[in-house]
Amino acid sequence: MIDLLLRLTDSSIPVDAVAAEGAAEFSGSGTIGFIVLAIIIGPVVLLTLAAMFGAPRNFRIPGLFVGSVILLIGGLVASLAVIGRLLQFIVPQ
Amino acid sequence: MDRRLRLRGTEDEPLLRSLRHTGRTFYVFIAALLIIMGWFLYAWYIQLTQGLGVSDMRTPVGAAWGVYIANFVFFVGIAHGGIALAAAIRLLKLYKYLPVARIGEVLTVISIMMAGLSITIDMGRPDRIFNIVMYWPQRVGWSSLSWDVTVIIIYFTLSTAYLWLTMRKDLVLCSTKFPRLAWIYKPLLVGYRADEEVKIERMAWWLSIAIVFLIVMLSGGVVPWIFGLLPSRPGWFSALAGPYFLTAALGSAFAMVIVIAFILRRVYNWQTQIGPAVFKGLGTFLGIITLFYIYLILAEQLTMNYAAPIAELLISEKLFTGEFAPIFWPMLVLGFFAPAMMFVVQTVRSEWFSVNRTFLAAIIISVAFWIKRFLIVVPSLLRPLLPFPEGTYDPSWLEWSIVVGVFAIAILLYTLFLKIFPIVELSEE
Repeated sequence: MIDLLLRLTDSSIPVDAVAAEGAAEFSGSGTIGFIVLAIIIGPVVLLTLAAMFGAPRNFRIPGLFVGSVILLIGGLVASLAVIGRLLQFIVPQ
Repeated sequence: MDRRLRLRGTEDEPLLRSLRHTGRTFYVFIAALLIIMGWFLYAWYIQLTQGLGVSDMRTPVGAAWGVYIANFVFFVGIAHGGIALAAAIRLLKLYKYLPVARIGEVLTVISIMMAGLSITIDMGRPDRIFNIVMYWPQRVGWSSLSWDVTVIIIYFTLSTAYLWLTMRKDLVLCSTKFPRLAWIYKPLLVGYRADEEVKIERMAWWLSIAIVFLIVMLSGGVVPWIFGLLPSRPGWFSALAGPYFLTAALGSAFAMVIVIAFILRRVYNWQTQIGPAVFKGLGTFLGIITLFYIYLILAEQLTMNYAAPIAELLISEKLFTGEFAPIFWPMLVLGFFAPAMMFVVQTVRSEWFSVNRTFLAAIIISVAFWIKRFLIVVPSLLRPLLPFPEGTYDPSWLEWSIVVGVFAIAILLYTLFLKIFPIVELSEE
């Protein structure tokens, strides 16, 4: 990274190429996000599984719960697509 | 559990007042909200067609984030505390507070939606919003914004599913009492059986733990990390950011629950159902958490004054003696300290307790927490990292119109919920 910064200060090297290389290097090297999300989502998944399969045993309510979660996430993703599409008619392209 | 059964068994009809009675004032109120919303749409349309240049947000000289991001952080904050209260009631068996549990749950769901709207408004090209999903796999490895989107979606999903599950029993009663709304209730009662309550209670207990954990990780984690992981930004790069944001989230949410509970109590004559003890308990907690927040402000500012990079000191000076001092000091003294001390006093001397004063203090604290979010976002951005001149930020009429419009939409959604669904848990009759 320090090497990249030093090269950015060198006016004889085209900046675009260095910046592109820097961006590629930076975005390709990230793994911390997966650790962060694993730490956050892991316990949530375990607790949700405990909620679904813990006593008293009943598979109808957990089924409804999973269905609602899928519907909500699917609905959110679909609404992002729809909102983006609608805004394309307003925002100058 | 006794308190819960008592609430369910005897106080059914008064709790349906919000669904049953719709007076002229209600329609005037809705009309006023719709007018504000129309103004909001007009302002946003101007911004969409002319670009963010119509706001006062500027870069590199000026603040690239302004009132929209302050609004986002504020709504994310109140989204967390609302359901935290409901989860705490279930986990700690605090059934005294059961009448305000759903008030908090609904506040959570609507606030997350408003947080999402605030972010969308802040985007330069919101028509590309689907790129968040499209490029998620490439970004999630390192982008704290991607973590934020991921965890907020999970939080929204769990909170909404939780609200739905715990409301199903009441919907059965509503579908018999209000057949004209059955077309709304029936899809929500899909697969309903009278014996499902036991399983739902147990599931809700486990989900409460999951939600509390998510609150800590979201309001005390990924949201503050959007700011705290920017290493060269004075005032933001701080290990304190997590606890700082989490405390503010809980404080502002409890304040909002008090405000909404007071208004509903007054409008629907729920003096018995939402008793003074509820306000006293919530007020005490809010007082403690606000004092703790003042301590965090002190810890942060003290460290900034001794930090090696001079930029930290300069940001602190902006707040203490600079251009933001006329906002900072009233916020600290009148917005946080005075109401918090009022809560402490009425906790110590019970005879001085007043529901009206609790409501007033909660409103003041809510406003102070919004101002604090503004003071977190803007001063740090005004100081450029490269040798540019220092900028200013004075939100335009358009930005204020949009901010007020987002609040109007939140109030409108809450009011519509009130007219369709019971906001306090009903009886088993």
